[in-house]
Amino acid sequence: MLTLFINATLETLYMVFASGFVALLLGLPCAIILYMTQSGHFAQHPIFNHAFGMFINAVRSIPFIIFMIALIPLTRFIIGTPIGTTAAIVPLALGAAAFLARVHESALNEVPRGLIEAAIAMGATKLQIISRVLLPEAMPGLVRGMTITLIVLIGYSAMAGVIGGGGLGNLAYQYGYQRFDTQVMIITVVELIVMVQLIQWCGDFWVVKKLNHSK
Amino acid sequence: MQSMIQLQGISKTYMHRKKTLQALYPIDLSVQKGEIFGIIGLSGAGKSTLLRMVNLLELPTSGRVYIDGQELNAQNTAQLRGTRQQIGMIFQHFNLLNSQTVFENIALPLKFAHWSCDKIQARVEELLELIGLTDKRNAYPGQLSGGQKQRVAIARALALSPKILLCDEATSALDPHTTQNILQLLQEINKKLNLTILLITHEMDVIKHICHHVAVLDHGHLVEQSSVIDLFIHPQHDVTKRFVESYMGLTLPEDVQLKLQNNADGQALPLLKLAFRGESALRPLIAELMTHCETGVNILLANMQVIQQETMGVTILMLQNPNAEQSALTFLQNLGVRVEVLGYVNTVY
Repeated sequence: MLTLFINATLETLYMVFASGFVALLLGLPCAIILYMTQSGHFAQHPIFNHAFGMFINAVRSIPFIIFMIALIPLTRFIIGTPIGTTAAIVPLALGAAAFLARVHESALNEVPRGLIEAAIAMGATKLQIISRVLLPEAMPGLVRGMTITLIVLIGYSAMAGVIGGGGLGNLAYQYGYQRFDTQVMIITVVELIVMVQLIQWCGDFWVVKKLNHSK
Repeated sequence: MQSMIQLQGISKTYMHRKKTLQALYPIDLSVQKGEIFGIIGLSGAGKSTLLRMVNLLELPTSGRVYIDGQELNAQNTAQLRGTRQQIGMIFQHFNLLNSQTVFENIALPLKFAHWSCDKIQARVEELLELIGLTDKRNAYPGQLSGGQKQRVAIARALALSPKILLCDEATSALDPHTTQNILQLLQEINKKLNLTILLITHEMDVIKHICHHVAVLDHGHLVEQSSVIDLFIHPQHDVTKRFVESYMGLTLPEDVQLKLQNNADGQALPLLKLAFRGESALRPLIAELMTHCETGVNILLANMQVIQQETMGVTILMLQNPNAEQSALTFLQNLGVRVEVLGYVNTVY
């Protein structure tokens, strides 16, 4: 029983952090593109911005459980099989990337426009503006966005578990729901709560201790 | 002499929901090398737009911008970046990076220009010395006062030894004492580095303290341009007059304004405004006027200012003898005093 829990926990952590990492790699660049192509910004392109924004919204508006099933052909193409913990990472990462793109876009929009203007006046290139001004200044918001995304991913990963992804969601479904094993159910729920709290706490700690320079 | 900044027929029209808004009407302006040039205007006059066109942060709808003889509109993106590195800029709200230390903030333009680490180190130390904040090297902007933040911003703007410094309401967010400190620093670097400074402000005080030349902007029109002392002595345009009068406290008391009429009727007393500069400011002018024109004099308002080491003064006075107007005017004009008859005050109500 204990090994069952340990395995399920490790599977969940693997799904959440691997897909979180991929989501960051995909979502942050999307957020930057969304940010700088807004009209009035330094690489403005309103038509592209609207089209791209609509695409992201479309992905986000599909309920995750449907998104996951719809993505089965793609998952099979990338991983080789649509079933298993690794396979679950594909829909998890893509769903989270769309979410993260919007969350991070709003974090980037929090950076005062004057700073960007100052950088342009200093003769910075677009890449320099992004890497030396935009990202460092938006960092607290970006970290917070990542924290929220990881927490959302814990929820998504439970859903992924139900269709063969393994992890705590699968455990709760098989033992708690199908066998009416209340004890397993309770332990799973408590474990998920602890996991969410820990991630939230780590994220907040990082923002407050490392990134807050106001005082 | 070639001007450092030359704007030729610069104008700006904004399109917003099919409505056009003319922010600036064609403006010609030239700023000489090494001078401090001020542009004053009320908010919404277009000052900020005009300043932003000098480094093309804002693209003019028409007209050309020349920096040190180079036409900016003709430059490609890479050339324009190079030119912008020669134009420092400071802002009302400082625009420092809160996530970076004072040192890193000042180093930013050097990093943009791909300087090596040791060169950056040496240059930033030099600039910290210049602004007198060597001990705040590792502080974050959130830990600094407004004046210190603006000093850091100035150091950052000067990092690449620019030819020009643009100041966008640089002292408007500061208290009067700090404003004076920052103005002094600007004046020092202007002299020390022979740096051309173009600033915009809505405060006459800033113009008076550091500018050599001044232009007045009103609703997108450049209505007046002169040396600062001339602007104080004979402002031409209504907006300019209002700026000078409110700065010098020359607004007539209400009861006098009520009794003011435009034509002499033999009874009303002439109200004169005298503006004088240099040595005539120091003569016992009023005493001489009284004996020479045989009239009593009632001084309503007076103010004296020292502008760039030159004294100027304005006095508003009422002649007690209604018939002394002509002789008083001739007498004063012969002494080189600018006289304006504001009207006649009817005292027999």
